Parts: sequence; structure tokens; C-alpha cells
Amino acid sequence: MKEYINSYFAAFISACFISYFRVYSSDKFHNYFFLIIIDWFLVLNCIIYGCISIALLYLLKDNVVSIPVNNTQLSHYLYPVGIGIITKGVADVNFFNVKTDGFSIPIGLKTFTQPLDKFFEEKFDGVCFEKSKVYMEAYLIKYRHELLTSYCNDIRRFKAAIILKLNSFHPDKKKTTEFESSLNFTKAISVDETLVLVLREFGPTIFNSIFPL
Amino acid sequence: MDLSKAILNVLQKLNKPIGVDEIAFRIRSTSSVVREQLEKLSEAHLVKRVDTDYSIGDNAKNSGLESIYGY
Repeated sequence: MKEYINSYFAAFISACFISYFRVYSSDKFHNYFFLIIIDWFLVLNCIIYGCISIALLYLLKDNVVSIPVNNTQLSHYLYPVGIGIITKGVADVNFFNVKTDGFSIPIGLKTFTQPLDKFFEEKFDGVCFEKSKVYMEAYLIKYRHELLTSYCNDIRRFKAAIILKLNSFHPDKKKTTEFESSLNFTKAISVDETLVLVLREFGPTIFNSIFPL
Repeated sequence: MDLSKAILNVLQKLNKPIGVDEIAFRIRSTSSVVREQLEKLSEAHLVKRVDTDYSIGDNAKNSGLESIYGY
């Protein structure tokens, strides 16, 4: 009995870890991850995928996939950990899409997990937005003032100074060049927009180097 | 996904009036770009203004499923 509980626990933990890492490494949330690092929605997302991995382990039981076993303790947990790792991949299985005029519905396990992922994505966005407003407040006050005093309220000079700093702080010159020529940056007309853009594109470490408080 | 579609998707999904800054944040754009686009969408009655916020307009209300599945 204890062996079973340990196996399910191993699958649960590995699925939770993969789920957490997926959000961390996603393009959309990587640079905002510091704002949701211990958020309840993120925890809930991990728990749900952990529970799916338990269900998957229960369904697959033993012998569906055989792993050559030696008698070490570690090899005993390979199967449940493997199930935990592949849980997200299995949950995203999509056999085909039903397409009509305006939309397309995936048919497969993704039918259930896609709305779930969209729901969490929306919640993470909401949390990140609210927390980023609080996080940015002090920076905005300081740099709005700096725009007036050091740059004579000239946003172009302010943006040029940012690009210079980015070139010295960020190792990837190509990314800085792309950022400089992006539509969002060229059309940014305020300190607020510019700071939000730098945080979004380069993350908190570079942001703090360029905009010290 | 183009900007107009991204804006409409966000407004459909949330189904409540939200500010320009939040729309810009959610579609990873900037307020200036979004404001410009919202004005065009507003003229076509695809979005409507509610005080300082925006919500989905009458002409865009019939394509709700599109936002749920995100295609």
C-alpha cells in the first residue's frame, strides 16, 4: 500500500514540477514570472496537472510501458516519474480539429485541457497586470520626473538613452536591435509605456540594471 | 493574430469593460498602439466605450466561441 502511495506521490510531484516549469519557460510569462511565483492560480494549475498524472498512472497501471528494472529503489520510481513528466503531453493529445466558419475545436484530450489552459492563462495575465502596476509604481514616479529634469521632456532622447544602456547591459545585441525597431517601441510616447516594454521584453534583472531606484 | 482580433478576443473572453492599459498588457502591446486600434474598432461598433474603459460592441457579440478556443 505504501509503495502505491509513494508511486502516486512521485507522479504527482513530477507533473506539478513540469507544469510549474512550463509556465516559467513560456514566452508569455517568463519575464513576469517573478510576479506569480507563489500565486494560488499557479499552485492550483500545478495541482490539477498533478491530479491528472495520478489518474493517468491509475489508468495505465503497470505493464503498459515496461521499463527494464534492476532492484534499486530509484528504478522503482522511474515509471511514475515518467508518467508525471509526460502528463502534459498526453493531456494535449489532439486527434483532429473540427473547423467551422469562425472557430476550430480540438478533438481529443485537448478538448478538455485547452479551455483549462486558456482559463489559467487569463488568470495569470490578470494577476501579472495587477502586480506589475504595484511593482512599477515607484519606477514610474522616478523616471517620469527624470524625463522632465534630465531629458527636457523629450521622449526620443529618453528612449535613445535606454537603447544605449540596453546595449551595455544585455549580451544579445540582435535582440536589442529588434527591440529598437519594433512597432511597440517606436510608437511608445510615454515613460510608462517604455518602462513596461523593457520589463516585458528583458525581464526584471535587466530592467533593474537600466532603471535603478 | 492581428491586433484587432487580439483586442476583440480579450474583450470577448473577459466580457466586462477593461481599460486600455489592461488590454495592452494582455495582448503584449502598448497603450498608444491599442488606443489607436480601439478608435477604429469603435467606429465600426466592434467595441464600445464605457467611461474610460472598453467592452465588446454589438457587431462583435456573435463570435464568442472563437475566443474560447483561441483560433
